[in-house]
Amino acid sequence: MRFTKILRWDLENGLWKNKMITLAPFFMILVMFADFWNRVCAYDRAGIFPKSSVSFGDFWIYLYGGMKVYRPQDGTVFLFPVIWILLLAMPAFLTLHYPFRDMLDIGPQILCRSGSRKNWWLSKCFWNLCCTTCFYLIVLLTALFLCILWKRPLTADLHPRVIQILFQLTDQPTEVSPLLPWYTFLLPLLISLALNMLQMTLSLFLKPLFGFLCTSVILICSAYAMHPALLGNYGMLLRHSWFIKEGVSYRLGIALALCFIFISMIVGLIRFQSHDITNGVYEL
Amino acid sequence: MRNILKMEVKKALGNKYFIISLFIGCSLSMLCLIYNAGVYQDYLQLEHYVLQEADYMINPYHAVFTLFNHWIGGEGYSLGSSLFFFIFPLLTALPYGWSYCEEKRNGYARMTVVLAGKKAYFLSKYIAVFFSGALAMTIPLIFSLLSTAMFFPAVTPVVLYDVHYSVFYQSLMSSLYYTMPFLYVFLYLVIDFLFGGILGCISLAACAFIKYKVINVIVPMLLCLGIQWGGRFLYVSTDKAYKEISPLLFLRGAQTSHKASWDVILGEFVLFLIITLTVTMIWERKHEIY
Repeated sequence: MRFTKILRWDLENGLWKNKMITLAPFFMILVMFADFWNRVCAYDRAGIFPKSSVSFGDFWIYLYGGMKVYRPQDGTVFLFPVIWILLLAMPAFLTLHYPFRDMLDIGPQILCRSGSRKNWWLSKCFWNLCCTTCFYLIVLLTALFLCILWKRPLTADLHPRVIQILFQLTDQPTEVSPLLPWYTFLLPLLISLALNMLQMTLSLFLKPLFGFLCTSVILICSAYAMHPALLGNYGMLLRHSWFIKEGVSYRLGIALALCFIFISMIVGLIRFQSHDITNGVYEL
Repeated sequence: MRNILKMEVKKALGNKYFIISLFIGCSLSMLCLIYNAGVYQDYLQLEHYVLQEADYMINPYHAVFTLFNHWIGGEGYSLGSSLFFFIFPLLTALPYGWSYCEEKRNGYARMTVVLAGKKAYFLSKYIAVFFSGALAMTIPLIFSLLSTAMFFPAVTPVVLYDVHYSVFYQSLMSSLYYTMPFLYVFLYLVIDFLFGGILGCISLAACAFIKYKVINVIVPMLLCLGIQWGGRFLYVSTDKAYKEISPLLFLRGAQTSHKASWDVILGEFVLFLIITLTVTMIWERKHEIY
């Protein structure tokens, strides 16, 4: 059985027939936009900033902005950024289960027929990448569609006052570029891809549940501490060097994400060569 | 009924996932303690330096470093505490929340129902899941309280330093915190015990609709995240004082964002109790399992 045939099977069963991967981001963005617009209208009524000034760029940073750098010594209690966590944890959750269900369901037969574990694993990796990209594209398209519907300008313009109020920053960001750089649209996707690939590989060593637990821990640690080794920081637009001086570099973020994707694929491939697939049931 | 209950509780508290859950919870408690002990040590060194070598006096702030604002449930600054109060819905469902799903799939549930009856089976399953979840939540908290007590004095908090405790005038049971802090901690442990149990039972109730164990275990966490997200629709104005609706935040003994209140805590608990009991004891009991 060729690689393309297995991949077609995976895309059909794990993506096309899995309606959650398309519906979840659509409804999430609908609700997030409702929350965003509700706030914008409230601030407009209070005379803080006019709602006419809000653009697609502001909504994008509201979705993937994350949170400002947390410093415990400031005396503020840590509050994780729930929207950012949901946008990164949801694709991880949606891609958690299928590979292992397939492995114990029809997997042994496919592996026997194809005679290659490599093709099966690579197919699952590409399926994972496709699902995450699909999730992200639906987020992007829904956000664009809602901005068109609410007659918001489809530009990457940023309004420092809007960002300051929405993220409760103490000072208005002054040295920020007025336009969102191109990589602010690419990095959240790359980080999500890297985390999901890492989760799938970790699930081979541990169990799928513990793979998800590791993803959750990485996300919270990234929100808690701004460190270049914590992958989640590159997915938070408020932590980038274009926004704050001490922020993380986008070049390093892209390089790290690609490394994580590649290494996870290779390590998973090596591990899968000796993985027991005849066990029948996977535990959690 | 008694035999099956005994057996279910034994299975719930004796399996490896219960141990793993406790291990993760206690490790996070230790992480929290290491951070807080470090901060305290730095302060003691500064105080020592000022007393011995400097020619000025400082307020010793003895009441700021107390057991009650440095155990995992009483502070919101350390990574250990932040992680624990994010992943605890997973830790409560991990020990036994998945069991019904597994027993339904492999036919064990059918055999047990024939021998013990549906009511006894589902009730004992519910009680076992409740206790495993409640203990998975509470034991790390008690462990943290005891281990923190080895390093921090149990000084009664002084209201002047309320910003250091994150327990303010309008916070839940604030009068108890500043007069009888051990009772305050005990009441919070009871609330956490009840919520740990009920979140585990949400995972059990989800087994009625979802046939995959791993998804069932994650359901309580997604529900808690969903509630916290839903709160954003309520907390729009910066001028109003809102009540906290997210279990991820109100189960801490320290106020994080909005004040916790009895009506929300009890209301959510009763709502979850009714939903989980209805699904487990009525819906699933009347459902064909053969």
